[in-house]
Amino acid sequence: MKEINDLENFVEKNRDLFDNGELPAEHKNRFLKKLEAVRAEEKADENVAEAPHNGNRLQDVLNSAGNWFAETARRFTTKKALLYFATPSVAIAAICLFFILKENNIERVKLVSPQGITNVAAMENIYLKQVKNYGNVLINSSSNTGDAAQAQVKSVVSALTEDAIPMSEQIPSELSKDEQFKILKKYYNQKMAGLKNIKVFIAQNNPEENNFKFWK
Amino acid sequence: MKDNPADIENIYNCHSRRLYFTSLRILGNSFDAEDVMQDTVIEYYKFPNKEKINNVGGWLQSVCVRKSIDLLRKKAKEDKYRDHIKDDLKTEERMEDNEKAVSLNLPEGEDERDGNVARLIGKIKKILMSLPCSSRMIVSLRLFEGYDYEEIAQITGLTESGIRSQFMRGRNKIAEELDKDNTFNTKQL
Repeated sequence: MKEINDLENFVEKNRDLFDNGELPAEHKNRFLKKLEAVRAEEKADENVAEAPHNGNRLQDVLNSAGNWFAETARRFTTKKALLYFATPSVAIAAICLFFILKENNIERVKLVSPQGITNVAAMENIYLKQVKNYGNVLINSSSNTGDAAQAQVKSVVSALTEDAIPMSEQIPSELSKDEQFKILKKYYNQKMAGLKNIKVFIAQNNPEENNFKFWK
Repeated sequence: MKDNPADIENIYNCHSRRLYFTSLRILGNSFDAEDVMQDTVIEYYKFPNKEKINNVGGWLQSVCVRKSIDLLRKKAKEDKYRDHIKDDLKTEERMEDNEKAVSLNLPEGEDERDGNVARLIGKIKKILMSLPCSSRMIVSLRLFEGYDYEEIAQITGLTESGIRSQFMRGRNKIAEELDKDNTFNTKQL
């Protein structure tokens, strides 16, 4: 019908005018805060990956790690839960990193990437299963650490193992398969590294479990 | 991958408006649209291979659409979102008595080209927001973002025939509502 086609032509001709109007007040400030939190997370990741050379960096590293956990919680929990989570998360991060750095023993966690998988979503399911299995091991191992500590462990594990939107659906399909797999693997390696940090905290709070086997 | 924050800020300044309204048309919710808009730019910030992106605007738009649809899909599973849809239907009923019941970001007093064009755009936006969410999403993707039926099917996981049907219903609804208002006759388009 001509009238219907005219509607489409009208929209196409005036497309930019449909994006007129006010954006939500203070939207840019909220964006800049999100960006700041992401940068803090990156800084925390970098600092965990490097062995510290002197104690003066310790406080900056602990602060960055606290921001990382707080941002992780912000993404995946309600604001109400965040109030419960944010403060102890800094303590968890501080304790984890203190003992890691003190021991000067940064462990690298490697995901297992099976050969022959050509579908990105299928590979993500495999990585996710590994991450969740490891998370469940950590939760089970924290049973003797006390209710409060175990609740904190559960919160962090949940934040690290659950994504609102699977990464495989966020990666642009126009990238090559190799690039998509590479991005996916890096993303899940970061999750595993985060879970590994919790291991130290659990071990320090549960001396009887020092011998149990972790993910290799 | 490290970027100058000022560059990302520039990206945000250039593209946020388009991303926000794209997401708003799909989600029908200002808070969610803002979240998706911002998360899209953050995604760009984190993306390790920026040099491979030939068209930044197109890349951002694509990610924004996918994130919006994913969020819509996720919310469709939640009971509270069904309530939101019911609220939308009630709003549509109230619109006959009071068009101001729907709070949308409409251009007020804008007159870049012609007053009738601005009013017609405002009317179309209102009608679009009153559509059921799945219909609104498909009309947005087809009419505003230029996706064809096959692309929409790939993104949404719906069948092409279902998409065509939803699009026709939504588009006819827009034309029908415009015709009800004697000020806007679709033949004037």
